Amino acid sequence: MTTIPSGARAEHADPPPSGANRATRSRRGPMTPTRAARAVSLFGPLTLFVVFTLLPLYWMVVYAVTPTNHEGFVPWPLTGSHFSSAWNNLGFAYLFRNSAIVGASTLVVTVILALAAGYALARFEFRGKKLLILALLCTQFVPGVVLLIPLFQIFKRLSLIDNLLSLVISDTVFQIPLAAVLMAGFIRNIPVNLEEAAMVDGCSRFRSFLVIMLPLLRPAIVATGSFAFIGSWNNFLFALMFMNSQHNFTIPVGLANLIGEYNVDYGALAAGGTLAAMPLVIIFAFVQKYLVQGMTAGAVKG
Amino acid sequence: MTHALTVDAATMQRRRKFNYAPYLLLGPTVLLLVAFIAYPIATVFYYSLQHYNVTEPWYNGFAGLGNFTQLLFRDSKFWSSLQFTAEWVVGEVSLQLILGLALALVVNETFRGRGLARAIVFAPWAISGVLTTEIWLLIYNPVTGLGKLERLLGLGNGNLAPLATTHGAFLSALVAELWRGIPFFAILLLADLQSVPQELYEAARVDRANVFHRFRYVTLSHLKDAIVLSTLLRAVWEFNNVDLLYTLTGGGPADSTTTLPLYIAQEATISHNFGYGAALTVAAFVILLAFSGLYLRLTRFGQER
Amino acid sequence: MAGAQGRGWWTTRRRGITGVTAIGAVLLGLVAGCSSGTASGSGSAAGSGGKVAITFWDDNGGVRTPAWQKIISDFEKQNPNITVNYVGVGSSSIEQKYNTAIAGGSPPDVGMVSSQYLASLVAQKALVPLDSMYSSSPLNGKIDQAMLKSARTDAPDGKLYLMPLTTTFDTLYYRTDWFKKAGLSAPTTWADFFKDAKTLTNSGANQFGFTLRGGAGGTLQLLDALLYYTAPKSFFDGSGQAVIGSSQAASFVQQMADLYRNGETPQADINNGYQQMVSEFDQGEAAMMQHNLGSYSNHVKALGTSKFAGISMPIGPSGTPVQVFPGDNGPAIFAKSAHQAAAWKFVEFADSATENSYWNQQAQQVPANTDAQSQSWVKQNAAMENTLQRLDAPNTIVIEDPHYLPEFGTIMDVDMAPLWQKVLNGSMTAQAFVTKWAAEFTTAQQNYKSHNGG
Repeated sequence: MTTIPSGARAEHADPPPSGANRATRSRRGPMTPTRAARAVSLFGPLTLFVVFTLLPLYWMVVYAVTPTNHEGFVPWPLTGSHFSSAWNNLGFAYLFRNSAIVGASTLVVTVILALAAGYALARFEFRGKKLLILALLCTQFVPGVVLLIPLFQIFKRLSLIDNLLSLVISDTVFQIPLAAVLMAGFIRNIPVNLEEAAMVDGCSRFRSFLVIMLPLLRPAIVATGSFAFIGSWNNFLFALMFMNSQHNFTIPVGLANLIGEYNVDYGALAAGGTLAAMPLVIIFAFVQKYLVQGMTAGAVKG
Repeated sequence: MTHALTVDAATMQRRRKFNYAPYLLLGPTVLLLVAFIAYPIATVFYYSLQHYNVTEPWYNGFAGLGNFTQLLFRDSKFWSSLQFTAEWVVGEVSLQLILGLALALVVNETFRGRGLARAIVFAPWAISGVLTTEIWLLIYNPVTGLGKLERLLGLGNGNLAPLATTHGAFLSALVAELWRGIPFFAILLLADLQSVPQELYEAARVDRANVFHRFRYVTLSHLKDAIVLSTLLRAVWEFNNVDLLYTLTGGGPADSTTTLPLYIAQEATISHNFGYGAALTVAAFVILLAFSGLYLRLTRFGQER
Repeated sequence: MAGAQGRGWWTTRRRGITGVTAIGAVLLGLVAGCSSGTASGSGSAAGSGGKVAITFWDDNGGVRTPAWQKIISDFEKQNPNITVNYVGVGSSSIEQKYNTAIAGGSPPDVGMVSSQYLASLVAQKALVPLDSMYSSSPLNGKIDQAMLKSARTDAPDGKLYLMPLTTTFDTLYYRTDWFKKAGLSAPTTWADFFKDAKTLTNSGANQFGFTLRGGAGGTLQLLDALLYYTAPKSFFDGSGQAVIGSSQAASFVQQMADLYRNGETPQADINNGYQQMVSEFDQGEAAMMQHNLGSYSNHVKALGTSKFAGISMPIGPSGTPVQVFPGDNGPAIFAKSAHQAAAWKFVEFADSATENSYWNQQAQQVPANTDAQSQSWVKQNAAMENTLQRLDAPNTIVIEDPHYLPEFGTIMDVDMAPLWQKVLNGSMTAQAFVTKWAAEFTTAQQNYKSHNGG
C-alpha cells in the first residue's frame, strides 16, 4: 500500500490518452508495450487502492447483515434485524433530517464565503494579506475541546443553544479557513486574462466572475463544498454539546449512543454505521464527477 | 517552464488608489471568525495564566507563568507527547500526500469504469471519524477482526493484537487514519489537476521532456501552492486529531500514542484542570504558529516560480 | 484589459455582497426556523396554564432509553401537568456534557449522575441538596441505607445530592461449562482464581483463563480486585496513608500482570476497554472475566443462560470476605432548574417500588428501593443474590473507593492507567506501581482534608 511505482505517477500526469498515446508511441518507438505498461502502472495501484478502501467497509457490512455470532466473513445468511433495531432504537429519521439541514446550510454558507474571501486573496494585493492568511491558519490551531465552553457561552448569550443554527455557525467557522485558502489557490490558477477579456466585452466584474469564473471553478466548489458538508455532517463534539434535546441531535451523536458501557452489539453498531454512511457515500459517488472540469481543459486559454 | 499564465494581480492593483474590494469580500468571513473563534481563543490565553480547576476551587487564581514553567521544566509527559505528535503528524501527512497524489493521478486518467473507481476510493472521506474508528476497532480486535481472520484461514491461533505493542499501536492508528486521509488529498489534488493547462504539456513535449520531467516541472509545479497549503492545513488537523487515537488506543499502551492534544483533552475533561490545559493549548498554539511560519517561508509559498 | 475596472465594478461588487449576505441570511433563518419552535433553553420552558416541562438527561443513552421512555410515559399519565423531555447521552460523554452545560449556564432540570463525578458537580455548586425533600417524602425509609450513606459520603459536605436509583456490584463471570469439563469448582478464592486461569488456558486453541482490562476503565477494576484480595478495613489507615501500597498489594498486582505476561490472557488485553474485554468473554475465548452485574444481559445474548454464571469476587488470603461498594447511580436536581418541585416529583416516581423495580430488572442491577429489592426477579439473578448475601454477612468488610476526592479521576485514568500498562508490558515493577498509586491517594486525601475541614 505504501509504494507507488514512480513511473505510474508520471504516466498519469498525461492528459487523456488520445494525444498522450500518440506522443508516447512516437517517443518510445513501436517496440514498447505501451498498453501493457499502462495497464500495469494504472490498474496495479488502482486495484490496491480499491482493495484497501473496500476491505474495512466490507468488514462493517458483513457484521451489519449477518446474525450475531456469525462465523466467517461470507455475508450469508442475511438478516435485517440489526438494521431494524438500529433504526428503531435511534430514530434515525430525525437524525438524518438534522444532519442534512446542518450539512447543507454549512455547505452553502461556506462556499459563498470562501468564494468571496478566496477571490480577494487571489486577485488583490492589499495590506495585511500575509497576516490574514496566517490568522486564518491560527483559527485551526486550537482543538475544539478547549473552545467548547467559551463557544457554548457565546451561543447561550445568543439564545442559540439547542438550536441547529449554532451548529451551522460553529461548523462553518471551522470549515471556512480551509475552504477560503484552498479557493484562493484554485482562483489563482485561472488566468486573469480570461476575466479581463469578459470585462472588455462589456461585462461587469461581478458578472464576468459569474459567467467565466464560476464554471471554471466547479471542481473547486465541489471539492471545498463536499469538505464542508462532510465535516459538518460528521461533527460529533459540537452536536453533542450544543444540542440539548433528543430531536435536535445529529447522526454522529446517535451513533455514539450505540457504543456505550454495557453495550456491545456489534451488529447494531455496524448496521447503524452503514445507514449513517450510505447517503453520504451515494451522494458523493454522484458528485465526484464534477470534480473534473466540465468544459474541455483546452478552453482555459489566456 | 515559465508561467505565462500566472496571476497578474499587481497590474490590476496598481491602477487603484485605495481598494475597498478585498476588505469587503473578506469582511463576512473575518467577522464570523472574530466573533466565534477569536474570543474563545482569547479565553484560552487568559486561562493559561490562571490556576483554574472547578473541582478544586481553593487553588483558583492568578498563576502568572506558573503553568508554563510547570510544563517546560517539570512535565515529562508534555515533552513525550510532543515528540509523539511530531512523529504522528510527519508520518501521517507525508504518507497521505504521497498516496493521495498517486491516487489523484490514477483516477485522473481516462479509463472505463473511472466513475465507479472514483466513487469507491473517495468513499472513506465521507465516513465520520467516529465510524472510521469503530470500523478499525472491529478490525484490530482479535475476536472480531484480523485475529478471527487469521484463525479462519488457519494461519495461527488468532491471538493477534496489533494495538498491544507500542509500534503496533502506532502503525495501526497510522493505517486507520490513512484510510480516511488519502482521499482528502486525492480529491483536492484531482480538482486542482483540472486546471493544468494542456499547453504546458504540449510545450514540454515539444521540448522532449521525459515523463519524469513533465511530472516534476509541469504537474508538481502547478500543484505546488495547493500542496503547500493542504499539507499545512492537514498537518494542523492531524496535530489536533483527538478522536481517532482517543478511541482506538486511548493514548496507550503506556502513553506511547498520546499526542499533545490528547493530553490536553485529558486535562480538560478528566482532570478538570482547565488552567493547565489552557497552558498546554497555548504551547501547542505557539509551536504550530512557528511551524507554519517556517513552513510557508521554506516552501516560498505564493512566490512565482 | 484596459477597461478592467472602468465599468461600475464598485456598485456591482456591492450588489454582489448584498446578494451573498442575503442568501446567507435566508439560509440561516431557514435553519433557525426549523428548530425555533422547539428550542427551549434547557429545560426551563414553562408552558402556559400551569403546565411544566422538565428536561431529563440520561447518562447511558441508547441501552437504557426504552426503560426510561416507559417510566416517563407512566409519569406523564399520572402527572398530566408535567412533561419530561428525555435526552439520552452516551455514557462516555455525559460528564463532559454536564460540565460544559454547567459552565455555560444551561444544565438540565434533572439528570442521572454517578458517584464517580458527583464530587465535581457538587464542587461547582451545580446541584441542589435533596435531604429535606427526601425526609418529607413518602420514599423516606424505603431507600437502601448503604446506598444513601454512599451518596452522602461521596459529596464533600456530606449532604444528599444524588438520589440513589441503582447500583451495580463487581462480579466475576466464569464459563460454567469449561469449569465443569476441567473438573473445577467455582473460583471463590483468589488462589483458585489464579490456579484455574492457568488450568483453563490453552493458547493453541486460542482459549484463555481470563480476560483483563488493560485499557479504559482498567485501573478501576484493578483497584477493586486489589481491595478484595488485601481486605483492608478502610481505604486510608489511621495516619491517613492509603493502604494500597503494601507488599501484599504489590504481589497481587504482580500476579495479575503475570496472567498477561504468561499468556493466560489474550495479547490484546493491554488495550482492552469494556467492549473488547466483553467480546473476548462472549465469543468464547476467555474462561473468566471481571466486570459488574450490568453486563449480565450482554452475556445472556451471546452465550445463553446455561454456559456461564456470575459470582461475587474471590476472597483473599486472609479469608475475610470483602464487598467493595461501587457508589451509586441516580438522579440529581440541578440548582439552575426553575422547576425543582416538578423535578423532585419525577425523581420520587422513578424511585417508587414499581418503577425502580422495572428499571433495574431491565438493567439487571440492584434497585435502591428496598421493596423493589425483594422482587422475585432479583432472586433469579444468582450473582445479584450472591452479592446481596455477602453484603448481609456479619464478617464482610464493606469498603468504598474514595470517589469524593477531586483528583480521583485524574489518579485513576490519567496518571495510573498508562502505568498499569507499563506493569503489563514489563517496563515497571508492581511494587513501584502500587507505591506510586498509594502516594497519589495519600496526597489527594491530605489536600482534601485540609480544604474540607478534616
